[in-house]
Amino acid sequence: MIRRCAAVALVMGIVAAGTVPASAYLRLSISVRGQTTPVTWTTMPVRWFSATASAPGVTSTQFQSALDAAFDSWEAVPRASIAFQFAGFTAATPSDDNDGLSVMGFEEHADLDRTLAATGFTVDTLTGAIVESDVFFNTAFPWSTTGAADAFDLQSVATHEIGHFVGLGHSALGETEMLAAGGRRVIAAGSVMFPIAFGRGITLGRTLQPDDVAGVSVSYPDGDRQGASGQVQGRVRLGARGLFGAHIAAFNLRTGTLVGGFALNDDGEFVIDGLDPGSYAIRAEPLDDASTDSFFDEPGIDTNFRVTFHDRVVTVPAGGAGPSFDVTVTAK
Amino acid sequence: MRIARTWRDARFRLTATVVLVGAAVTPADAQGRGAASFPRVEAGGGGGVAGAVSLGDRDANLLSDNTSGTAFRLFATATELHAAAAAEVRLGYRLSPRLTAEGRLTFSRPSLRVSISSDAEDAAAVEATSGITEYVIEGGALWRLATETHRRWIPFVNGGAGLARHVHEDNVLAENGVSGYAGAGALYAIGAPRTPEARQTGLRFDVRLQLLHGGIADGAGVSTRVVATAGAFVAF
Repeated sequence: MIRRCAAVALVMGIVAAGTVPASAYLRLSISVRGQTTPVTWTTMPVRWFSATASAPGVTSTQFQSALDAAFDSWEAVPRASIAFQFAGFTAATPSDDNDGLSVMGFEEHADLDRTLAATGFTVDTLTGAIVESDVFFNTAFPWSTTGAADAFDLQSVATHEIGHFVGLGHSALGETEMLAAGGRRVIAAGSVMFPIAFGRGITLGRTLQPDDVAGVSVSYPDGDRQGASGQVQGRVRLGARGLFGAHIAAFNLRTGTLVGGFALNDDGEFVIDGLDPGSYAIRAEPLDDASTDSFFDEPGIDTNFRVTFHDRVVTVPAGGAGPSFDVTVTAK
Repeated sequence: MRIARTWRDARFRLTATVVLVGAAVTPADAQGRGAASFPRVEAGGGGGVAGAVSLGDRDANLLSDNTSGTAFRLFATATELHAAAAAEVRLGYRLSPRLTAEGRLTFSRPSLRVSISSDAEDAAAVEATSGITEYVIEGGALWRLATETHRRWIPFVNGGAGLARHVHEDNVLAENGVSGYAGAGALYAIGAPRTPEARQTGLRFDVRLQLLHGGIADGAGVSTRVVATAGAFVAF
């Protein structure tokens, strides 16, 4: 018998002005028989429906076209093997959980005054397979499909939500600043999966960044291209202690691309996969001044250390990893 | 992990063989003409310095939250292959009193150094390093600017091209690019040969501008450095 977890257990959103900081891709996962298992789609193409609801300035047809373009961005990643299929318009809504349909659509959530959109899942808890995923776009905010200066770009936000839809979590590749009214504003981002959206009228979020590409290529590796990328692995240490939740960015010295990752256990161990072979500079930073729950459910994220560069150039081979290394940081 | 041997490795070895053997046997007809009398085969080796190579300055940029497209610099990097001692062996075939075709293998162990600075969150600037093993195999021509047999010093100019292979620390990655060089130097004859055909020994001083493209220098366009070597040769 298949047991399924509630969608609410895996809801990821993007906020207009939230409480998050700086840098990387993170795969959503659940515990299956004590093993951390990434959640992924296992049947291709992934069929999705467009709700018929519209929003001021965006018809249902425009909505579907914007979503199509966003899906295409993910499907076009060379090293990933994932496919989507528009299955038609539906009267169902994104809030209809466990109806067997993956629905994208507008909904009004006036109570969520900082949430532009959110993605929910139904996951097979025995395998980690996604069986349904729904995305709502909050009509409490103004939307545009043309980059209008006074509205949020639908395709950009959809590209972010589809990252969640395929099983990616938030990236911390970005910088924010505090707002006088509370919360934070994004200054810059290096990933579509950064949890705070660009401001109104900005369409930069339509284009996947290397961090996003690495994430989806690891989750859905293209068999023909396996071996073309490699990984770095190591630990972030403060004295003798590992730092859970430390964020690590790998910078390709040749291509200038940034891909991030997190230390995901108490030993501070991290792996960043999906990297082009070559030489990398490594930067470790805390999720400082942040709502760490944008990234982790667990408490105990240590943010009391300084941003630190590793003093060795790290080489990524094709199809594997170089020796593990430690990034030693100091307390603030 | 160790790198697997691939067709690239095989190609590199094959090319190396072709360059050296080609230099030794190509002008078979020159002997047939019997024009001048001088030692034909020249072998030598030496050591020196391979200068630093800039592999480019790059910023780690994020997309700014604006419509102007300006980048937000997270930090800045400047990468170079540091200067290192170099050893080389040469094999040449003298085609004429002035012209010698030669092949050369140069070996060095430079470090890859990256200066990281200007961090947006005030991280301390760092110079990160790693070790590189470099092999450069080149074929080219050497042109003597003087041919008088009584001269001790014979200046020359030379130029050529080849392949550069850089093996990263722990053998995790090998990158192949191309090289080219142009330079000048001098040969210093030790002793006077009993006959024009007799074996000749001497010293060789060599300075060249070397260009690297692709491989470890990929993305930096054409990188240049100065290589200076001194050594001995024997001609027979």
